[in-house]
Amino acid sequence: MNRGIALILLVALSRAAFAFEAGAGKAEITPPLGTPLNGYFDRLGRGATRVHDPVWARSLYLDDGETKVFLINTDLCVLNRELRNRVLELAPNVVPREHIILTATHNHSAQGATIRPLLFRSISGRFMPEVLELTARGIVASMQAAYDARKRAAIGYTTTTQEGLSANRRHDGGVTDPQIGVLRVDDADGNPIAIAGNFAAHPTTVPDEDALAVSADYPGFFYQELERLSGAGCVALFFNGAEGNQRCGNPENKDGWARTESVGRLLATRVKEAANGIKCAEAKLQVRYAAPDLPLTIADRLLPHSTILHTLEIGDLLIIFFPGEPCVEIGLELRSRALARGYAAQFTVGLSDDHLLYFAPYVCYSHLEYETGMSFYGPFIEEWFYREFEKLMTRGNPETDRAAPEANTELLEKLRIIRFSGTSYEIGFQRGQVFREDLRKAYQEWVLAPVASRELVPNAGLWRLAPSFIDLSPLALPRLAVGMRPMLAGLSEDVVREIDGVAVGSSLPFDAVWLLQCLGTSAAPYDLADLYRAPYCTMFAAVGDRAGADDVLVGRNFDWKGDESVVIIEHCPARGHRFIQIGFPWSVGVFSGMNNAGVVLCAERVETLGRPGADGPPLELILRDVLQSADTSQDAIASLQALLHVQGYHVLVAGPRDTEARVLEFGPTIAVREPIEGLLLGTDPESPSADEAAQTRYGRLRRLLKEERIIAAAEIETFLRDREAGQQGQACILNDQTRCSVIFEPKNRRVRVAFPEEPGRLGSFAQLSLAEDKS
Amino acid sequence: MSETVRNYTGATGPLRRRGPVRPRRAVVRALLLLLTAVLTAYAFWSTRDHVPEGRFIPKEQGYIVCLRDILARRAEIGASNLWTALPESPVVNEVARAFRSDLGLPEWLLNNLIGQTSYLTGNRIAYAGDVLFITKMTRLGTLLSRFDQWTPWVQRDEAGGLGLRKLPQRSLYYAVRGRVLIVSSSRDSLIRSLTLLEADAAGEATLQTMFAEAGTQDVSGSLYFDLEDPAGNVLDSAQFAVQIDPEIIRVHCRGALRPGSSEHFGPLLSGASPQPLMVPPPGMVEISANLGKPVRDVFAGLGKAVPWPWLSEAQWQKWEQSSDGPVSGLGQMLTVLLGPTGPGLRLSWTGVDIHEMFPMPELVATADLRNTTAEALFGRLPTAPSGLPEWAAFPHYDAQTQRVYLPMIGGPTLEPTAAVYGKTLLLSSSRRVAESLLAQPPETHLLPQLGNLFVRIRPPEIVKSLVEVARLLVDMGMLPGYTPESFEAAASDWQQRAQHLDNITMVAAVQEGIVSAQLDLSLVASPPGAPPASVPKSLVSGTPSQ
Repeated sequence: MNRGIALILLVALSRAAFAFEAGAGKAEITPPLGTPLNGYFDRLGRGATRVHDPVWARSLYLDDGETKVFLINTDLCVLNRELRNRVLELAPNVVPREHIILTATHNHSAQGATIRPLLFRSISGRFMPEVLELTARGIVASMQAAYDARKRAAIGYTTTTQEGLSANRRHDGGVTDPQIGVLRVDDADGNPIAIAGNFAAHPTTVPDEDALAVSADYPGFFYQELERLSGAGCVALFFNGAEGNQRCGNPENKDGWARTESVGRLLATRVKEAANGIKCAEAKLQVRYAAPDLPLTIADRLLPHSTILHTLEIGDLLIIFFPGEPCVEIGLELRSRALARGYAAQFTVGLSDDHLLYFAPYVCYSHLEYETGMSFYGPFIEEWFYREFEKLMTRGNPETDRAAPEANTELLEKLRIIRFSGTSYEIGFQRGQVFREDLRKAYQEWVLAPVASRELVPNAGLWRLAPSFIDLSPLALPRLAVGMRPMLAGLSEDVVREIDGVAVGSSLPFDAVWLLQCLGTSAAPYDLADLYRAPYCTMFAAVGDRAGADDVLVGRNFDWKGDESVVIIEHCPARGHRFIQIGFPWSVGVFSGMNNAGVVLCAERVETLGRPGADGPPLELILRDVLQSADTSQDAIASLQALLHVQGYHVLVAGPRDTEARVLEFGPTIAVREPIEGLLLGTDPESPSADEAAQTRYGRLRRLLKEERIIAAAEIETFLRDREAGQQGQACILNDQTRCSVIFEPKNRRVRVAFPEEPGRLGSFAQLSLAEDKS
Repeated sequence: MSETVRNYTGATGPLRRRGPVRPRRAVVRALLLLLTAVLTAYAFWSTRDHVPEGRFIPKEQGYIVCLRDILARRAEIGASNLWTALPESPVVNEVARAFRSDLGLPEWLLNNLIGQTSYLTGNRIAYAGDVLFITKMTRLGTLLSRFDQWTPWVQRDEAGGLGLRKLPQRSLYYAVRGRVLIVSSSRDSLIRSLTLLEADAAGEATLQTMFAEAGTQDVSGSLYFDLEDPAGNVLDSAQFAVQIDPEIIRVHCRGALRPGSSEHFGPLLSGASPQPLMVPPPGMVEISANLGKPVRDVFAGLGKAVPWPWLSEAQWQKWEQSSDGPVSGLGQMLTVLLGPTGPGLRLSWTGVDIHEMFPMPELVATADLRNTTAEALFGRLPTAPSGLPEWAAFPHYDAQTQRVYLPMIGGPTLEPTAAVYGKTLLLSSSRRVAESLLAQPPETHLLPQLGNLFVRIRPPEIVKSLVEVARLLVDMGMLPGYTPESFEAAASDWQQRAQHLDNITMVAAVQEGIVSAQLDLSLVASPPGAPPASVPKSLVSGTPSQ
């Protein structure tokens, strides 16, 4: 018994007796002249011609008795995998490899040359194995120096404000991170061993005329000033933050190197002032490491499929390390989440351990800017990071993975009606799973194959110079996807989330599914006829007395070039209206549909009115959005009338009341047509915009409609089956391209649908209802 | 059972008379002997060598190729590394297999059917459908051919009394005249050959004259080009001879330029005669040229000969005057510096720098500075505008190192550099290669043969470099049809094959409208897997220039 108590006491005392240890070290990693510098394409890979100031690797070794960690900052542009792997090979074997956290300051005036993959060399210059080795050995030397200098120590942190040292580089007055994080490590005598600053801004202040000079940029002046202020023996470290869209400010209004120096010294001064107020003590360290699979990316030949994530907790401080360049919005959101979980402070460090380019938040994603153009993991990558980092946080409730919902399919009178319900993401996920093969086939045929064969690759500029035996897809696909990003602008988040769900459900990258949605519309300007598909239809409404007791009836033959099969989907979204979508497996959009408020939308392509613009979403996605949100046909008309980029379509909008049917003609301007004598045709056969086939088709339809005084659903069925003798092709109401016939009864919230049994011969109509509540 | 010939009289036992038998046997023996003698005489007479091969070769053929002793040497030829060095193809495999082991007939039969000298001839170089194969058989072979119609695989084709034979399975026709075997896939060609008037036949004397120069070469031939034939608009006729040895395949050829082609080639080749050729810088591909003209004149001459839009005097002038941008800056540097140099020009492809921003071939050239000096040459370059950054794409002259360099993009591999190197101007696409060469004493050796053009290609090094480049593309998914794994498997095969062909060397000369060339394919005799042998016969170990 006594021996047992003694053993417990001994263990407890030995634990208590262990002193917090720390050490700091630095080593110069200035490359030889002639080494290409990293970060700018404009340098064209040319080598450095002089050294303005040295570049460094700086390491901090921390050990709380249980957890040992190396925290390393390098004055490099990025921490690429070749370099990280080599450092881990050479690193002193005193901490687990997962406890080595490597970061770069994102300095644009240090060596490139360490990156082997061909397609990154346009930025990083020629690959020089000797520079890779020199850099890795320099980093390891700084680690060894830190370890060798370890001594009893105490640690503390604080935050201060940066007040004009950084600015948003995309928008004047845009979001910035006001915080400067400060970490201080003292020896047993209270002398600083190391002081680290955490601040978010691109080190891109080196003047243009010295573009080929080696420099550590403003962090170099920060080190000099901070070490001068702190005295001999203190190693200054700098960790860049969520700097994706942040640049340096210029509070002292300096030019050239003077500006670089000004930012560095001001930052050092603020860090030192804050550090002076830190009371250091021993603290518990927690290093969390994960190597998760990343969301799928269309740039899968350029970027890795998994990455490295680190968090470091020092007492109640949480430091999060991003494997790339997060925009500031992401850093701020993560900070608020961390604080909500009970951390007293949070620092974000970018460019750590890996480089997956930029991470743009959803709010920026549709703006074609440099950061979004270099972001390839989808519009919701921020949420992926939030989830993954929250899994690593030791405070607050554990984060769980999203559950995968299952689709609900029903067979109704030989029609395959599929009901999707849940959040927009869940609906998309179900859709992706159900139509996985259709989506993947469409992606292969409409995107991958034409890109590989260069049909979808510009025959201009550098593209033209590539030898024909090279497959440009690894470069062209991401560029094509980025080029389509602006078409996301104006879509509701619900639609974007549904597309994201489709991507995850079908195991495709978000950009792949997005290209499927918008390639038809965007391909039109390039005359890629095979990719361009749009309905040329027959649609009409009978209103008022002509519709009898129904008030409003809409008939629609949905004609389509191409061999895709039409699907009917009942959407039961978690918010907004339920609606029936008549479209295609690959398309999230609506070509014909009705919601449970009785709003009916049908679209018809009218080529003579112009081509749809590529600076906004495809019309069918907007219609899907409107169906989910519109309470009345007036709401729908108002939403559609606000569209500026849509051209070349007629959209029939109807509601349950007899006064609500309209056709919006999207030409150079938007014209609105109302029913005449209770009849509203999708296209006026006498309109100059109607082509010859449309004139014949709609002319015949008008005659048929006028022959009937009261037009009930039975009459509409007859009209939709009509094939005028002597006419062929699109001149017939029912033709070989008719994929389905639909009758909308808005008042009763009913939809009748019939599919051709063979081309030109319609089967029987089946009935669907949106009247009952299935939520 | 005895095989002794016996005579039976029909009588048996005691009735048999013995007396008269002896004289009758003698008569039979005599008859048999006589018959044998007659048959032997007939065999000798019918297989006499009374018709020469030249009697069956039309006089105006497009080509006549003479094959000497191929059958006897076929094992040796089949063992040549040539077959493993050539790219994998069914045709190559079939030919190699045929040489090595399997012609489908017993060896003794082949040796009697195909003589030491055979001819291949046809009317058009570009058309293989009328080829005649003509060879002389042994007596035994000729005799055996008399019985061929009784074999199941030969059909008789009377052809108006010509008595052709047909091998239906191979779609071949043949006929035997005297001891000459004539084979063709074209019945018409064979009939024409058999019915030639003596005046229309090439005749033996012509053949002897034609192939006398080739001596004991394994394959030799004469080609007469139509305008539609490949190279027919340049060459009127050509002769060649090929010697196949285990370590080297040597081709000599000589071609006469078509008289009308002087309009195109006159500016390039006029006055050309074999010149001393200096050893080019070492590389995967080495070229040494000397047409007796300054480089600028050669460029202009090439512009007349080859219809490439950028290869013209006008383009040269444009480059010479403009330095706007890296590409035209390079054009200016090359034209200004190279223009007055010559007549000797060497160009080598030294390798591919796979570490550069994009894989770049590294080229180096040296040009004779006979009529100009470095100062005069570099003084011709336009002066860089003041304040121009040192990395601007403009030819810069560094007086200290006496180098001209042109920063383009990327690192030193993409930085064209020029310097005086002994009695030559050195120009390289790569500063790295230029500096490396400049650190060594300049080459002063001449190639042992006079000529106007020397080319040496080293396939193993080329394949190795191309594989390294392709590997980069495969890693990025930019080489269609290959995964990293499938590429490595294919690349290993390419490299192994290429190792068997050490180098290909050609020396060509022009004189008075006759182009002559010697082409050597140096094979590595060592077995696959063994380290490659050194270059067997070097053409670079020439004598120092005078």
